[in-house]
Amino acid sequence: MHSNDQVAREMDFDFIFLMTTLALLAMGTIMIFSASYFLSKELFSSPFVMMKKHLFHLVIGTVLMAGIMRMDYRRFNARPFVLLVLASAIIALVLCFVPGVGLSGGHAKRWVRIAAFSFQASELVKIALIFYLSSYLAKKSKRIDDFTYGVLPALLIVCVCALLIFIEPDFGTAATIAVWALGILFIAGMQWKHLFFICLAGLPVGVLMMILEPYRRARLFAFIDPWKDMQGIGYQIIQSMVALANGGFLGSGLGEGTQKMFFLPAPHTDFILSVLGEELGFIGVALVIILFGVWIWRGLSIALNTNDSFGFFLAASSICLIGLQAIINMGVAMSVFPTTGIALPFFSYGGSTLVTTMAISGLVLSVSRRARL
Amino acid sequence: MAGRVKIAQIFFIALLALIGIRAVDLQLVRPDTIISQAHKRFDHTIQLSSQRGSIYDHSGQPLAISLEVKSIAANPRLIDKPSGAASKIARALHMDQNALKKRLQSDKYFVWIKRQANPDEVAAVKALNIKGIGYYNEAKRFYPESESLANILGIVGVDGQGLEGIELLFDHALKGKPRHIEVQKDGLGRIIYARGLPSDEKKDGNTIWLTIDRRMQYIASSKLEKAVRDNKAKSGFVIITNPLTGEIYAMASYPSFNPNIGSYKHLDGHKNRGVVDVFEPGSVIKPIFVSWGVDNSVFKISQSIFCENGNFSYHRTTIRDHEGYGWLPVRDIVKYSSNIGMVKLLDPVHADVMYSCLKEFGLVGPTGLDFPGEPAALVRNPQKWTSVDKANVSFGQGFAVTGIQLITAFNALINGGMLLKPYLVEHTADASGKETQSFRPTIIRKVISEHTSDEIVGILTSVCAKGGTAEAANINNYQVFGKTGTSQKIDPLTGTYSRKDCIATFIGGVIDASGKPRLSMIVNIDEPHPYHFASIVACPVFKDIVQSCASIMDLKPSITVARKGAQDEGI
Repeated sequence: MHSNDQVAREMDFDFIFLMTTLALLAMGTIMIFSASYFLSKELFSSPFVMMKKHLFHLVIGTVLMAGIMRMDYRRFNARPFVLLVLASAIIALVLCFVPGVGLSGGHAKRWVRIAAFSFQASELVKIALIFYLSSYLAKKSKRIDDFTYGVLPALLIVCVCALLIFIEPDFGTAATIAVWALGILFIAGMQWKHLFFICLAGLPVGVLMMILEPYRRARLFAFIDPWKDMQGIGYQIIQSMVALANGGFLGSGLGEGTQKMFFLPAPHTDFILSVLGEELGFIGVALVIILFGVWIWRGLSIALNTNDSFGFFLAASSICLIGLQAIINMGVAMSVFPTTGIALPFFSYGGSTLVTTMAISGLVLSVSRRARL
Repeated sequence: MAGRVKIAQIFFIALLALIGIRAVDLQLVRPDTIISQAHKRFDHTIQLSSQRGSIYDHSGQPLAISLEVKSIAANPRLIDKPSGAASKIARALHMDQNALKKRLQSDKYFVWIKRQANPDEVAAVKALNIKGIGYYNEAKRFYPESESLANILGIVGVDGQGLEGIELLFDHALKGKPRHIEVQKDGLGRIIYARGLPSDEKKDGNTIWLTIDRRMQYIASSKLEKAVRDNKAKSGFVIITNPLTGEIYAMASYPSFNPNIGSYKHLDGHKNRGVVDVFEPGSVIKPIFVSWGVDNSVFKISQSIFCENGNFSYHRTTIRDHEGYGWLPVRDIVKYSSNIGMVKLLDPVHADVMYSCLKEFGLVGPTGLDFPGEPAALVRNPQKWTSVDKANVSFGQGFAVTGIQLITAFNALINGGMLLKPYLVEHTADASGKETQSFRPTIIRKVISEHTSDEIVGILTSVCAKGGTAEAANINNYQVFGKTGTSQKIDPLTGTYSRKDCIATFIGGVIDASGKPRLSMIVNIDEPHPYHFASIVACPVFKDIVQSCASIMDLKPSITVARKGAQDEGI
């Protein structure tokens, strides 16, 4: 185990994964600058304010990522640590509803302020659940085919978190976390029939949550036929499609897009891919898709090539979470899925998301040091 | 586990591929379709409406002006409690609550609550402080002369489009040229982007200057209203013109309507009766036939006709005069308005020739007045006239004309024989005041000689003198001339001439110290009761109006001219 060769390999990050991560970050940073230019000018009367904030987040993320990737990830597999993180994540979720600590953006209560920092509680939940599920599954992977002792305890924890996020309300994130957790349980070896029954039970709940809230219902109908209510909820879908259509094959050129000038809602967050698609064209979009494809494939390969199950679950769950978010965001921008506010990892503006994404990438890189690829 | 991870890898790659395919579809296959479809949906053309031109009378007094008023509208999607808001607004504006509620509960982004609201109403709604209510400036047409000129000016619709009268006929000129801007609106209907500059310079509407004199119009319409009411008549009209030019000084109809209240309840009141209504002229036609006969040497003015003492059997019918006359010279046939005399005078004249006389005087077709809705007069094909028909035509029955045709023909009779096109619009000017179009007197044709015209004026003066049928029209110190006509109306039930329903017409004019006819006027009262003779019903209206207009028109008393008329009468 401790041969020289092994020690050298331990310091070796997976080159492809690291490069892909850096490429995504670089592209994201450039796009943030372009997408936030006019919005920042409008909101802060300087086009660079949002860019500067983003760079600040990037610095924090880089410090965190560099720190985590150098650490031995196995040290995270300690029960007190995992439970502490999980407990603080759940407390943070609850704090969102406490006046004074919780910050509301629009009608949603998603942020917690501690000292000068405010962050999105659901991002902390993501990290906590990665640790919790990895630790739990590493220990119980032998019994995961048993529903009551294997699947149910993990599912309950996930459900509590998802429910708290759902009532913020943030349906998109709650649903993403639920689907992601199921996916991890599936990878862990859950029985097909259990998966089937959980889906069967969960589907009506999900559909009901979607139908009962008028704006979610409207988004669903707008997804089915955006042209019908193009003045209302279909508006953002159409504007996103117009942005992509404007881009064509080569794009209008970096910074030359017009749809980000208040036609596109949230050009710097939810619809940053549309801005990219307009300015860099199909070539740019294809590059993003390929980079995410390589990143996911390579990340899961890292997981497959670890020789400890905690590392395996850590890498697999990290990749699945980021991958799922990326696919949902891109699918929304392209109107493959109904509109929901999921950020595009590495691209969307927002400190909590960026820092979380980079921390998670650091975890995978840390795992890659011990993977034999 | 390894197998499941492979499944996950393939699942992710498949989803990414799906997104890639969608990108191909959106960006490479049909980007143009999407862009054009979106533009079609989001692009709007907004109209920056131009100011509608004003209408003035000939001295520059405003008759129709556009004022800016507020209209109240709502964005129902922004209203929190539509039914509560509806009941509050309905109470403030005295509107139907349920209809308003339905509008406010719709899922539209824009509904009107009340267009062209008055300032009190706007203040009342503002005081309610309801979210989602907006106020928009709109132009409202305002008519300072109200009922007096309503039938001429017409009205505009709520969007400022001319619907009737001058407003309709000159809509294009009045409207001006609105500017169009192609804009894109965002999800809230706010204009977020204008494609390019306005299509071209906006142009405010032209102003229109009428030949109408506001004061004379007011006098005419108020005297007419009084006459119609006093005589318990159905309706009536008065037209005052300048016989030397064809300009129309006043054109009043009763009933009328208040154009400042957008009510369409009494559509009958919207008619400009002098132009659009047809009626049988009766005896006022007599001087026209006489002048034509004299001018064409069919008979002489001094010729005498035996008037059968008031009862004349003609082709199995009996023609009557209201009084029995014996031998009457031609001038007295007109003066005493003898039907028998006219029938016998025109007996040798062929129907075709009589028809062409009517045609010559412009009584068969429209006059060409600049006003919409002028009908062709109702004169049947002379080939189909029976002898009795022909006899009827000779004293003004059996065919119908409009008031404007009659006054136009009458003007030719008295102005030296020139048939002039009547006109209402003097000139138009653009927004900067530069004249764009000007209308001059137009001679259509010469119909009789000056000499004949003078003789006819003499005869018509005698009609208004003591003993004439229009004595009631006579005014001291002026030479007044004219002719009455009382025509029986066709009873719609029996199809024959009614005994009690008549149309009383007086057509006449005034010569002042200048020695020239200064004005001509037709007064028409429909179905007066109990008296239906024009001499009693219509002549006093003429006199009344002329006396009231004398100072406005600067009519100078002229004893000498009046005496000349009196001498004519004596011959």
